[in-house]
Amino acid sequence: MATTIAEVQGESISPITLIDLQLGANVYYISSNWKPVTVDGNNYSELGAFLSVSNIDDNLKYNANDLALTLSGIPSGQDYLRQILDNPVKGGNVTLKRAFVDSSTMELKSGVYTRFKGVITNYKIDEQVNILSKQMDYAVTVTLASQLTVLSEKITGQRTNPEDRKRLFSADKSFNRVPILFNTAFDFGKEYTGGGGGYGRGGGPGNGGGGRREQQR
Amino acid sequence: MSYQRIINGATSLNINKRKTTAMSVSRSGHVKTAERQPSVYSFTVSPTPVMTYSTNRGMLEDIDTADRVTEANVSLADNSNMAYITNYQGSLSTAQQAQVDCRGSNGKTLYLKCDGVTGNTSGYTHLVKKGDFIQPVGDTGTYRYPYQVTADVTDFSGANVAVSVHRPVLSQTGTVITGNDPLRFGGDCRFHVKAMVCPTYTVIPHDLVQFTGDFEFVEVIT
Repeated sequence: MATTIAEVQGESISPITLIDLQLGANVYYISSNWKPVTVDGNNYSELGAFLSVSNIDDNLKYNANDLALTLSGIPSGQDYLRQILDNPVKGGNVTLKRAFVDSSTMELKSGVYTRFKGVITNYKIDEQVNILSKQMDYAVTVTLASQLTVLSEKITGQRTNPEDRKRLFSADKSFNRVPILFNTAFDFGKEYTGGGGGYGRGGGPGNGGGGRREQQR
Repeated sequence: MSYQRIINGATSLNINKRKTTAMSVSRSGHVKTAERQPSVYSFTVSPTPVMTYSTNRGMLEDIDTADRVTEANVSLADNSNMAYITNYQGSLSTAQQAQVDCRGSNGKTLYLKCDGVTGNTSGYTHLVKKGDFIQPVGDTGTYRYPYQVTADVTDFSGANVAVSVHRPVLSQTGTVITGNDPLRFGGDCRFHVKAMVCPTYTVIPHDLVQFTGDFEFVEVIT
Protein backbone atom coordinates (compact mmCIF):
# COMPACT_ATOMS: atom_id res chain seq x y z
CA MET A 1 0.00 0.00 0.00
CA ALA A 2 1.38 3.39 -0.93
CA THR A 3 2.48 5.68 1.87
CA THR A 4 2.57 9.41 1.44
CA ILE A 5 5.66 10.91 3.04
CA ALA A 6 4.83 14.48 3.89
CA GLU A 7 8.42 15.49 4.55
CA VAL A 8 9.61 14.95 1.00
CA GLN A 9 7.07 17.41 -0.34
CA GLY A 10 9.31 20.25 0.83
CA GLU A 11 12.26 21.75 -1.00
CA SER A 12 14.86 20.78 1.56
CA ILE A 13 14.92 17.70 3.72
CA SER A 14 17.19 16.20 6.34
CA PRO A 15 16.79 12.45 6.17
CA ILE A 16 18.33 9.98 8.59
CA THR A 17 18.61 6.21 8.42
CA LEU A 18 17.70 3.93 11.30
CA ILE A 19 18.83 0.31 11.27
CA ASP A 20 17.74 -2.61 13.44
CA LEU A 21 20.46 -5.23 13.11
CA GLN A 22 20.07 -8.62 14.74
CA LEU A 23 23.34 -10.45 15.36
CA GLY A 24 22.83 -13.63 17.30
CA ALA A 25 20.64 -12.94 20.29
CA ASN A 26 21.21 -9.19 20.29
CA VAL A 27 19.62 -6.42 18.27
CA TYR A 28 21.76 -3.36 17.63
CA TYR A 29 20.18 -0.02 16.86
CA ILE A 30 22.29 2.01 14.47
CA SER A 31 21.62 5.49 13.19
CA SER A 32 23.05 8.01 10.78
CA ASN A 33 21.70 10.86 12.88
CA TRP A 34 23.97 13.38 14.57
CA LYS A 35 22.78 12.36 18.03
CA PRO A 36 20.99 9.36 19.56
CA VAL A 37 17.25 9.15 18.96
CA THR A 38 14.55 6.98 20.49
CA VAL A 39 12.02 5.45 18.13
CA ASP A 40 9.39 2.92 19.20
CA GLY A 41 11.11 2.61 22.56
CA ASN A 42 14.45 1.68 21.00
CA ASN A 43 17.45 3.91 21.50
CA TYR A 44 19.38 4.35 18.26
CA SER A 45 22.61 5.34 19.92
CA GLU A 46 25.23 3.72 17.71
CA LEU A 47 26.47 6.60 15.58
CA GLY A 48 29.99 5.56 14.64
CA ALA A 49 29.43 2.34 12.72
CA PHE A 50 27.17 2.90 9.74
CA LEU A 51 29.18 3.53 6.59
CA SER A 52 26.88 2.84 3.68
CA VAL A 53 23.97 0.91 2.31
CA SER A 54 23.51 -0.08 -1.30
CA ASN A 55 20.63 1.19 -3.39
CA ILE A 56 17.19 -0.01 -2.50
CA ASP A 57 15.50 -1.02 -5.74
CA ASP A 58 11.82 -0.20 -5.55
CA ASN A 59 9.72 -1.54 -8.36
CA LEU A 60 6.06 -2.02 -8.93
CA LYS A 61 6.69 -5.61 -9.93
CA TYR A 62 7.84 -8.29 -7.56
CA ASN A 63 11.40 -7.50 -6.66
CA ALA A 64 13.76 -9.28 -4.34
CA ASN A 65 17.14 -7.70 -4.81
CA ASP A 66 19.79 -8.17 -2.18
CA LEU A 67 21.07 -5.26 -0.17
CA ALA A 68 24.56 -4.65 1.18
CA LEU A 69 24.96 -2.91 4.52
CA THR A 70 28.50 -1.79 5.29
CA LEU A 71 29.65 -1.19 8.84
CA SER A 72 32.94 0.10 10.11
CA GLY A 73 35.46 -2.55 10.97
CA ILE A 74 36.92 -0.20 13.54
CA PRO A 75 35.08 -0.65 16.82
CA SER A 76 32.83 2.25 17.73
CA GLY A 77 30.11 1.47 20.24
CA GLN A 78 30.34 -2.17 19.30
CA ASP A 79 32.99 -4.24 17.60
CA TYR A 80 30.81 -5.45 14.74
CA LEU A 81 33.62 -7.40 13.17
CA ARG A 82 33.84 -9.54 16.26
CA GLN A 83 30.09 -9.70 16.75
CA ILE A 84 29.63 -11.02 13.24
CA LEU A 85 32.41 -13.54 13.57
CA ASP A 86 31.31 -14.75 16.99
CA ASN A 87 27.57 -15.02 16.43
CA PRO A 88 25.35 -17.09 14.16
CA VAL A 89 24.40 -14.11 12.06
CA LYS A 90 22.78 -15.85 9.13
CA GLY A 91 19.05 -15.36 9.28
CA GLY A 92 19.24 -12.36 11.58
CA ASN A 93 16.50 -9.85 10.96
CA VAL A 94 17.40 -6.44 9.64
CA THR A 95 15.09 -3.48 9.21
CA LEU A 96 15.99 -0.20 7.54
CA LYS A 97 13.86 2.81 8.32
CA ARG A 98 13.93 6.37 7.19
CA ALA A 99 13.12 9.28 9.44
CA PHE A 100 13.50 13.02 9.10
CA VAL A 101 14.85 15.75 11.32
CA ASP A 102 13.70 19.33 11.27
CA SER A 103 16.04 21.41 9.13
CA SER A 104 16.08 24.32 11.56
CA THR A 105 16.08 22.66 14.97
CA MET A 106 17.59 19.35 13.79
CA GLU A 107 15.20 17.51 16.09
CA LEU A 108 13.48 14.29 15.04
CA LYS A 109 10.11 14.61 13.34
CA SER A 110 7.33 12.18 14.07
CA GLY A 111 7.10 10.06 10.94
CA VAL A 112 9.29 6.97 10.64
CA TYR A 113 9.00 4.91 7.46
CA THR A 114 10.19 1.36 6.96
CA ARG A 115 12.17 1.03 3.74
CA PHE A 116 13.45 -2.52 3.85
CA LYS A 117 12.96 -5.69 5.81
CA GLY A 118 15.14 -8.68 5.29
CA VAL A 119 17.44 -11.27 6.73
CA ILE A 120 21.20 -11.66 6.72
CA THR A 121 22.32 -14.22 4.16
CA ASN A 122 26.03 -13.58 4.07
CA TYR A 123 28.78 -11.32 5.29
CA LYS A 124 32.04 -10.08 3.86
CA ILE A 125 35.02 -8.60 5.61
CA ASP A 126 37.00 -6.07 3.63
CA GLU A 127 40.54 -5.55 4.74
CA GLN A 128 42.89 -3.68 2.49
CA VAL A 129 46.42 -2.86 3.45
CA ASN A 130 48.62 -0.64 1.34
CA ILE A 131 52.13 -0.96 2.65
CA LEU A 132 53.52 1.85 0.52
CA SER A 133 50.95 4.47 1.40
CA LYS A 134 50.61 2.97 4.88
CA GLN A 135 46.85 2.99 4.79
CA MET A 136 44.44 0.30 5.81
CA ASP A 137 40.72 -0.08 5.20
CA TYR A 138 38.53 -2.14 7.46
CA ALA A 139 34.87 -2.74 6.83
CA VAL A 140 32.38 -5.50 7.27
CA THR A 141 29.51 -5.86 4.83
CA VAL A 142 26.43 -7.91 5.54
CA THR A 143 24.33 -9.05 2.62
CA LEU A 144 20.61 -8.87 3.19
CA ALA A 145 17.92 -10.74 1.35
CA SER A 146 14.54 -9.15 1.19
CA GLN A 147 11.70 -10.85 2.99
CA LEU A 148 10.19 -11.31 -0.45
CA THR A 149 13.05 -13.66 -1.25
CA VAL A 150 12.40 -15.58 1.91
CA LEU A 151 8.72 -15.82 1.12
CA SER A 152 9.35 -16.87 -2.47
CA GLU A 153 11.45 -19.80 -1.28
CA LYS A 154 8.99 -20.87 1.36
CA ILE A 155 7.08 -24.11 0.65
CA THR A 156 3.46 -23.20 1.17
CA GLY A 157 1.75 -26.34 -0.19
CA GLN A 158 2.50 -29.94 -0.94
CA ARG A 159 4.66 -31.18 -3.74
CA THR A 160 3.39 -34.14 -5.76
CA ASN A 161 5.74 -36.78 -4.44
CA PRO A 162 5.44 -39.48 -1.82
CA GLU A 163 7.88 -37.79 0.55
CA ASP A 164 5.76 -34.68 0.87
CA ARG A 165 2.61 -36.75 1.04
CA LYS A 166 3.98 -38.84 3.88
CA ARG A 167 5.16 -35.74 5.66
CA LEU A 168 1.57 -34.64 5.88
CA PHE A 169 -0.24 -38.01 5.80
CA SER A 170 2.11 -40.77 6.83
CA ALA A 171 -0.25 -43.66 6.06
CA ASP A 172 -1.40 -42.47 2.66
CA LYS A 173 0.06 -44.46 -0.26
CA SER A 174 -1.69 -42.67 -3.08
CA PHE A 175 1.42 -40.85 -4.28
CA ASN A 176 3.71 -43.85 -4.13
CA ARG A 177 3.55 -44.48 -7.86
CA VAL A 178 4.26 -40.91 -8.80
CA PRO A 179 8.03 -41.41 -9.33
CA ILE A 180 7.39 -44.35 -11.64
CA LEU A 181 4.85 -42.44 -13.63
CA PHE A 182 7.13 -39.43 -13.74
CA ASN A 183 9.90 -41.47 -15.36
CA THR A 184 7.67 -43.17 -17.88
CA ALA A 185 7.54 -42.18 -21.56
CA PHE A 186 4.11 -42.26 -23.12
CA ASP A 187 3.53 -42.38 -26.87
CA PHE A 188 0.32 -40.46 -26.91
CA GLY A 189 -1.96 -41.13 -29.88
CA LYS A 190 -0.42 -44.49 -30.65
CA GLU A 191 -2.81 -47.32 -31.31
CA TYR A 192 -3.22 -49.71 -28.46
CA THR A 193 -2.44 -53.23 -29.56
CA GLY A 194 -3.27 -54.95 -26.34
CA GLY A 195 0.16 -56.47 -25.96
CA GLY A 196 3.12 -55.36 -24.03
CA GLY A 197 1.37 -53.06 -21.61
CA GLY A 198 3.76 -52.01 -18.97
CA TYR A 199 3.23 -48.31 -18.73
CA GLY A 200 2.90 -47.66 -22.46
CA ARG A 201 6.21 -49.00 -23.63
CA GLY A 202 4.93 -52.18 -25.11
CA GLY A 203 2.87 -50.79 -28.00
CA GLY A 204 3.29 -51.76 -31.64
CA PRO A 205 5.55 -50.09 -34.20
CA GLY A 206 5.08 -46.40 -34.59
CA ASN A 207 4.86 -46.34 -38.36
CA GLY A 208 1.73 -48.36 -38.40
CA GLY A 209 0.05 -46.10 -35.94
CA GLY A 210 0.77 -43.06 -38.04
CA GLY A 211 -0.88 -44.59 -41.05
CA ARG A 212 -3.96 -45.43 -39.08
CA ARG A 213 -4.40 -41.89 -37.92
CA GLU A 214 -4.49 -40.64 -41.46
CA GLN A 215 -7.12 -43.16 -42.31
CA GLN A 216 -9.28 -42.08 -39.43
CA ARG A 217 -9.39 -38.57 -40.71
CA MET B 1 51.78 20.14 19.88
CA SER B 2 53.39 19.38 16.57
CA TYR B 3 50.20 19.97 14.66
CA GLN B 4 49.77 23.25 16.49
CA ARG B 5 53.17 24.29 15.12
CA ILE B 6 52.06 23.39 11.62
CA ILE B 7 48.99 25.60 12.05
CA ASN B 8 51.00 28.40 13.58
CA GLY B 9 53.34 28.42 10.61
CA ALA B 10 50.65 28.00 7.97
CA THR B 11 50.95 29.93 4.76
CA SER B 12 47.25 29.41 4.13
CA LEU B 13 44.37 27.97 6.09
CA ASN B 14 41.19 26.68 4.51
CA ILE B 15 38.24 26.33 6.89
CA ASN B 16 35.34 24.14 5.83
CA LYS B 17 32.32 23.63 8.03
CA ARG B 18 29.76 23.21 5.30
CA LYS B 19 27.00 20.66 5.59
CA THR B 20 27.05 17.35 3.77
CA THR B 21 24.42 17.88 1.11
CA ALA B 22 22.75 16.34 -1.88
CA MET B 23 21.01 18.35 -4.58
CA SER B 24 18.78 17.49 -7.49
CA VAL B 25 17.64 19.71 -10.32
CA SER B 26 14.72 18.35 -12.27
CA ARG B 27 14.07 18.85 -15.97
CA SER B 28 11.53 21.43 -14.96
CA GLY B 29 14.16 23.35 -13.02
CA HIS B 30 12.95 22.52 -9.53
CA VAL B 31 15.81 22.33 -7.06
CA LYS B 32 15.60 20.04 -4.06
CA THR B 33 18.23 19.52 -1.39
CA ALA B 34 18.94 17.08 1.37
CA GLU B 35 21.43 17.64 4.16
CA ARG B 36 23.11 15.61 6.82
CA GLN B 37 24.31 16.91 10.14
CA PRO B 38 26.50 17.59 11.98
CA SER B 39 28.70 19.86 9.95
CA VAL B 40 32.15 19.17 11.31
CA TYR B 41 35.11 21.48 10.92
CA SER B 42 37.87 20.52 8.55
CA PHE B 43 41.02 22.50 7.93
CA THR B 44 43.43 22.35 5.04
CA VAL B 45 46.72 23.79 6.17
CA SER B 46 49.59 24.65 3.87
CA PRO B 47 52.71 24.33 6.02
CA THR B 48 55.75 26.54 5.92
CA PRO B 49 57.31 25.74 2.53
CA VAL B 50 60.83 25.05 3.75
CA MET B 51 62.21 24.74 7.26
CA THR B 52 65.60 24.09 8.75
CA TYR B 53 65.90 20.38 9.24
CA SER B 54 68.29 20.30 12.18
CA THR B 55 66.19 22.61 14.33
CA ASN B 56 62.89 20.91 13.53
CA ARG B 57 63.77 17.26 14.02
CA GLY B 58 61.80 17.15 17.25
CA MET B 59 58.69 18.47 15.55
CA LEU B 60 59.08 15.98 12.71
CA GLU B 61 59.35 13.18 15.22
CA ASP B 62 56.20 14.39 16.96
CA ILE B 63 54.34 14.43 13.65
CA ASP B 64 55.50 10.93 12.80
CA THR B 65 54.40 9.77 16.22
CA ALA B 66 51.00 11.44 16.06
CA ASP B 67 50.52 10.45 12.42
CA ARG B 68 46.86 10.06 11.47
CA VAL B 69 46.05 8.30 14.70
CA THR B 70 46.49 10.67 17.59
CA GLU B 71 44.01 13.42 18.28
CA ALA B 72 45.36 16.95 18.70
CA ASN B 73 43.78 19.80 20.62
CA VAL B 74 44.57 22.88 18.57
CA SER B 75 43.78 26.57 18.52
CA LEU B 76 43.59 28.92 15.56
CA ALA B 77 44.87 31.77 17.69
CA ASP B 78 47.99 30.26 19.18
CA ASN B 79 50.04 32.43 16.85
CA SER B 80 49.16 36.00 17.79
CA ASN B 81 49.50 37.04 14.17
CA MET B 82 46.62 34.67 13.37
CA ALA B 83 44.37 35.84 16.20
CA TYR B 84 42.28 37.94 13.84
CA ILE B 85 40.77 34.72 12.47
CA THR B 86 38.88 33.98 15.64
CA ASN B 87 38.84 37.31 17.48
CA TYR B 88 35.76 37.97 19.61
CA GLN B 89 33.65 40.70 18.01
CA GLY B 90 31.26 41.45 20.89
CA SER B 91 31.47 44.14 23.53
CA LEU B 92 32.33 42.22 26.70
CA SER B 93 35.73 42.48 28.26
CA THR B 94 37.72 39.33 28.96
CA ALA B 95 36.68 39.48 32.62
CA GLN B 96 33.03 39.89 31.67
CA GLN B 97 33.22 36.99 29.21
CA ALA B 98 34.17 34.79 32.15
CA GLN B 99 30.95 35.85 33.90
CA VAL B 100 28.73 34.47 31.13
CA ASP B 101 27.50 30.93 31.69
CA CYS B 102 25.90 28.36 29.45
CA ARG B 103 22.60 27.18 30.88
CA GLY B 104 21.29 24.93 28.13
CA SER B 105 20.77 24.17 24.51
CA ASN B 106 18.06 23.17 22.11
CA GLY B 107 18.86 22.13 18.57
CA LYS B 108 20.96 24.88 17.04
CA THR B 109 20.48 27.29 19.93
CA LEU B 110 22.63 27.83 23.01
CA TYR B 111 21.09 29.59 26.01
CA LEU B 112 23.44 31.84 27.93
CA LYS B 113 23.10 33.29 31.40
CA CYS B 114 24.36 36.86 31.23
CA ASP B 115 22.75 38.42 34.29
CA GLY B 116 25.92 37.82 36.24
CA VAL B 117 27.91 40.21 34.09
CA THR B 118 29.19 43.07 36.23
CA GLY B 119 31.00 46.29 35.53
CA ASN B 120 30.30 49.20 33.29
CA THR B 121 28.41 48.14 30.17
CA SER B 122 27.61 51.59 28.84
CA GLY B 123 28.22 51.74 25.15
CA TYR B 124 28.04 48.01 24.79
CA THR B 125 26.17 46.88 21.70
CA HIS B 126 26.58 43.14 21.27
CA LEU B 127 26.98 40.04 23.34
CA VAL B 128 28.23 38.24 20.24
CA LYS B 129 28.25 38.98 16.55
CA LYS B 130 27.60 36.76 13.61
CA GLY B 131 30.67 34.61 12.96
CA ASP B 132 31.93 34.69 16.56
CA PHE B 133 33.33 31.47 17.98
CA ILE B 134 31.92 30.23 21.28
CA GLN B 135 32.48 26.98 23.11
CA PRO B 136 30.86 25.79 26.33
CA VAL B 137 33.31 24.06 28.64
CA GLY B 138 30.74 21.95 30.48
CA ASP B 139 30.76 20.79 34.07
CA THR B 140 34.04 18.92 33.58
CA GLY B 141 35.76 21.68 31.65
CA THR B 142 36.38 19.26 28.82
CA TYR B 143 33.54 19.92 26.36
CA ARG B 144 35.00 19.51 22.91
CA TYR B 145 32.90 21.25 20.33
CA PRO B 146 33.08 24.93 19.31
CA TYR B 147 30.29 26.72 17.49
CA GLN B 148 29.96 29.83 15.38
CA VAL B 149 27.23 32.35 15.95
CA THR B 150 24.79 32.80 13.08
CA ALA B 151 22.97 35.95 14.24
CA ASP B 152 24.00 39.06 16.16
CA VAL B 153 22.89 39.08 19.79
CA THR B 154 22.43 42.44 21.49
CA ASP B 155 21.15 41.26 24.87
CA PHE B 156 24.24 41.04 27.10
CA SER B 157 22.49 41.10 30.47
CA GLY B 158 19.59 38.64 30.22
CA ALA B 159 19.24 35.51 32.28
CA ASN B 160 18.40 33.31 29.32
CA VAL B 161 19.84 34.76 26.14
CA ALA B 162 19.33 32.63 23.02
CA VAL B 163 22.32 32.42 20.70
CA SER B 164 21.88 30.74 17.33
CA VAL B 165 24.83 28.64 16.25
CA HIS B 166 25.84 27.01 13.00
CA ARG B 167 25.14 23.40 13.91
CA PRO B 168 23.09 21.44 16.41
CA VAL B 169 24.66 21.40 19.83
CA LEU B 170 26.42 18.07 20.20
CA SER B 171 26.20 16.00 23.32
CA GLN B 172 29.31 14.57 24.90
CA THR B 173 29.27 11.51 27.10
CA GLY B 174 30.23 12.37 30.65
CA THR B 175 29.97 16.12 30.22
CA VAL B 176 26.96 18.33 30.79
CA ILE B 177 26.78 21.82 29.33
CA THR B 178 23.53 22.83 30.98
CA GLY B 179 24.86 23.49 34.46
CA ASN B 180 25.61 27.19 34.24
CA ASP B 181 29.22 26.57 33.41
CA PRO B 182 31.36 29.15 31.60
CA LEU B 183 32.14 29.46 27.91
CA ARG B 184 35.14 30.22 25.82
CA PHE B 185 34.94 33.12 23.41
CA GLY B 186 36.86 33.88 20.24
CA GLY B 187 40.46 32.78 20.17
CA ASP B 188 40.09 30.74 23.37
CA CYS B 189 38.02 28.17 21.50
CA ARG B 190 39.81 24.95 20.73
CA PHE B 191 39.38 22.18 18.17
CA HIS B 192 39.93 18.46 18.64
CA VAL B 193 41.23 17.22 15.32
CA LYS B 194 42.95 14.32 13.63
CA ALA B 195 45.03 14.54 10.49
CA MET B 196 43.09 12.98 7.62
CA VAL B 197 46.01 13.75 5.33
CA CYS B 198 49.43 13.82 6.90
CA PRO B 199 52.11 14.49 4.28
CA THR B 200 55.55 13.06 4.59
CA TYR B 201 58.65 15.23 4.46
CA THR B 202 61.66 15.43 2.23
CA VAL B 203 65.09 16.43 3.44
CA ILE B 204 66.83 18.55 0.86
CA PRO B 205 70.44 19.79 0.72
CA HIS B 206 71.73 22.55 2.97
CA ASP B 207 69.91 21.30 6.06
CA LEU B 208 66.40 21.98 4.79
CA VAL B 209 63.19 20.02 4.96
CA GLN B 210 59.86 20.41 3.23
CA PHE B 211 56.53 18.62 3.45
CA THR B 212 55.18 16.87 0.41
CA GLY B 213 51.78 18.53 0.56
CA ASP B 214 49.10 20.13 2.67
CA PHE B 215 47.83 18.85 5.98
CA GLU B 216 44.13 18.15 6.24
CA PHE B 217 42.67 18.10 9.70
CA VAL B 218 39.13 17.05 10.53
CA GLU B 219 37.27 17.64 13.77
CA VAL B 220 36.72 14.47 15.78
CA ILE B 221 33.14 13.83 16.84
CA THR B 222 32.95 11.12 19.46
